[in-house]
Amino acid sequence: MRIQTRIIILVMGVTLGMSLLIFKSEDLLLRDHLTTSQNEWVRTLVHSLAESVAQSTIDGEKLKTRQLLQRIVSNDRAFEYMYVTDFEGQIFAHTFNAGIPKVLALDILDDDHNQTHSHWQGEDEVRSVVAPLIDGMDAYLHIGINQKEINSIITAAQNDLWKIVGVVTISGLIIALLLGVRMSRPLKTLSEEISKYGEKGLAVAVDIKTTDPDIRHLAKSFQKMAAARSQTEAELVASRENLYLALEKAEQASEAKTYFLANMSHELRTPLNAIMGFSDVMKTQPFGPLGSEKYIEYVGDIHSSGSHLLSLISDILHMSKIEAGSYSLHIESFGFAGFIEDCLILVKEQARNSDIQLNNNTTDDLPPLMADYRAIKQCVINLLSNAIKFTPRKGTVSISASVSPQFYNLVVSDTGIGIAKKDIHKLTDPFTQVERTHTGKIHEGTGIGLTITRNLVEMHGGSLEFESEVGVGTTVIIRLPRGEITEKENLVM
Amino acid sequence: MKKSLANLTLIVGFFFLSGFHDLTDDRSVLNLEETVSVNDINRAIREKAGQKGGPRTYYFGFDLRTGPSEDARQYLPFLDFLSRATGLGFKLRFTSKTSSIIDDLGTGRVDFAAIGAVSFIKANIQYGAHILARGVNQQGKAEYRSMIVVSPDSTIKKLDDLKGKSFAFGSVSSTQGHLIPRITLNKNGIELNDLAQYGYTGSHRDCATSVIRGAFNACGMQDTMAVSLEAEGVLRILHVSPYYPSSGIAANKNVPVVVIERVRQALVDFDPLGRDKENLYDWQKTEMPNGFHIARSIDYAELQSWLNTFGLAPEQNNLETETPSQ
Repeated sequence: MRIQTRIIILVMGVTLGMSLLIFKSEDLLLRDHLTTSQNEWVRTLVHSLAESVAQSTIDGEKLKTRQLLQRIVSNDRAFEYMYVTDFEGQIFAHTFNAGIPKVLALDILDDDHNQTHSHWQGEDEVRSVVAPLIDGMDAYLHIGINQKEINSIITAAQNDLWKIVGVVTISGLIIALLLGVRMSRPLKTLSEEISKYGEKGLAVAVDIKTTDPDIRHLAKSFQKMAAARSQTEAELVASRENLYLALEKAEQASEAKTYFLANMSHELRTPLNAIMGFSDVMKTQPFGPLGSEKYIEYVGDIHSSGSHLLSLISDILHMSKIEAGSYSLHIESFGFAGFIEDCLILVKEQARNSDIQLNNNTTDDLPPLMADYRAIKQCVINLLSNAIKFTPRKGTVSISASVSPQFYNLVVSDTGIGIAKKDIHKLTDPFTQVERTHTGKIHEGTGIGLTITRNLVEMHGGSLEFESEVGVGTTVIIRLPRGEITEKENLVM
Repeated sequence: MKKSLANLTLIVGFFFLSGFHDLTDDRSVLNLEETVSVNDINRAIREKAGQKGGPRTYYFGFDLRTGPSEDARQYLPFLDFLSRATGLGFKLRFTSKTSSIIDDLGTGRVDFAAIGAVSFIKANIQYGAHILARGVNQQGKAEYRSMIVVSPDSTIKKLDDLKGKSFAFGSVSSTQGHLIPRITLNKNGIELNDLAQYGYTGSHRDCATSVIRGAFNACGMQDTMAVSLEAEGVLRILHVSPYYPSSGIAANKNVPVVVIERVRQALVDFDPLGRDKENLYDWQKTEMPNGFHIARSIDYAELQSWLNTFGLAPEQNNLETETPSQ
């Protein structure tokens, strides 16, 4: 229901209710006043009559008493009848032409002859007022008083009161309408402005013409809210545009970097291959001795550095390909046992040089693995190489495989130096080597091996998980999903 | 919305219903055609009263003095006292002009009555009424006297001067207003025939007024009123009579002895100046302002003989010597 309608109903209800309450109160007060006045009048009348009526009643002078009563009744039309009940409760004298009206007789027989009653004679109310002839004695004068005069006074007063009620009610209606319009107009304006704001999303100036402080406050609050929202939206748009620009620049920079790396790797590898080839020839000295032992040592250093540089360039090139989306998976089925043996062969030398024991805990009953052989092999070799690298001499590096309904699991664990838990999440960040606080040294490596490993595993839809404890060792798990593997979209690092 | 409308309906409904409540009252229609005879109603009332049962109500009568209202105001508190003291119910009953307290007491219309000495003697002779107690006046005496008064400037200086003068009495049945003045006149050798004129004015006050206005030369009246009027200077006291047994409370012969004795004891215990003073109205204006003494019929023997002498006694009957309790 609209506020205006509510206000009108409420004000009208209160006005009408109050008017009726006043009407009823006035009516009751008037009736009470008139009845009290009438009773006083009757008491005065009876007092003046009492001695003569009482004496004639005592003396048993019925005729005299009746004549007295009849004289009074005939001289005043307000009196309908009079009758006297004597000390025995019996009717002593009355002014009725015939007997006593039955309804009065019933009252008398019910011992109610000392009570006031109201009767109706046609349309006129007749009130039977009773007064004792002598105080304390059971003899009464009963006077039937026609209420016509009182009723006419009451009716006239009621008519006046109805007019007042009408005027008050109409006034209430007008006030309610004015009040309703006055209160609802600013709210309506505010509502319209809010609708406009909602539709257009624009800040609006709400011009509310009202003296009501609450509504003014509401309008001001709304304006503040609208202004604040507009400002926030403007800032948001600006921020979004800046973000788009930054993203675009970043993408451009990334593309440029990838392009640069891919090209530069290629460009670097060509001369490096020459350096590697010629240094290898010099090491083997097929064309005669170099002469000095120092030259032989330097040539070895050149070759070793070249190999490292080549490995680095290969890794960068590989990662660039992955990031550039130019690396495609070639999914195939192959057995675990052979695959792991192939991997172990490639790190055996490194392990032996580091005096690390390699354990293959793979069983022969595993189903074939569906993956990109080359990619997963690189991943496993990376993990084994890292494990050997960070395991002290006499330590152990183990590899095992298992299959669950959902995953192929390849697990590489070592008894190495371990990684602090707080550093585990940094392991796959590119060009990062977690500091081994307990050794205090940075180990050899490009720092992108685990990044490539993670990317390759994730391209399979799998995940790379690390569990490690400092001084105890590290376990890395490659989880590859079973079922059909499709090449995942390359991840942006 | 529904709540608002419901509240509005409730408010308006309440006021309308309360406003028109009067019209929903049952009307008893005063049909003047459909009547019941007064005799039938009164008969029904009598039958109803007869069927009520319960403790009996005793009616108390008295000689009308001032007027019905004033007399009722005087006696009703006294009856309340009697009811409290005896545990019996008492109602006041007026004596009509066509009757007398003697007849009312004799016929059983009243059971007890405040009665003058002469009236008691007559009631005793005629109906065997019992005297219970005599009123004690303000001097503490259970007896009273009369005075003969004349105008202050009257030439009558002694009783003998009354011969040949007019003389007013009060009521013919009055002890102070008639019998005692007659005794006084008789004792002083004055017969009614010696008076130029005599009459009965009905009351002590009217008797005094008749002298003040000059209608009569002398009047025999109640002593207290005579003293009061002399103090006002409107009358002069010519003679004061000896004391005779005062008026008292008598009972109908049919009232049970137990009830009589209970009432007699209550009367003796009545203390209008002290314990029972509260609620009494103008009790000092009665002939028993200080309460009651036990009375016997024999107390009134002298007065009865004077009544006989004057031929005022009803048909001779044996004067009861003892009340039923003795």
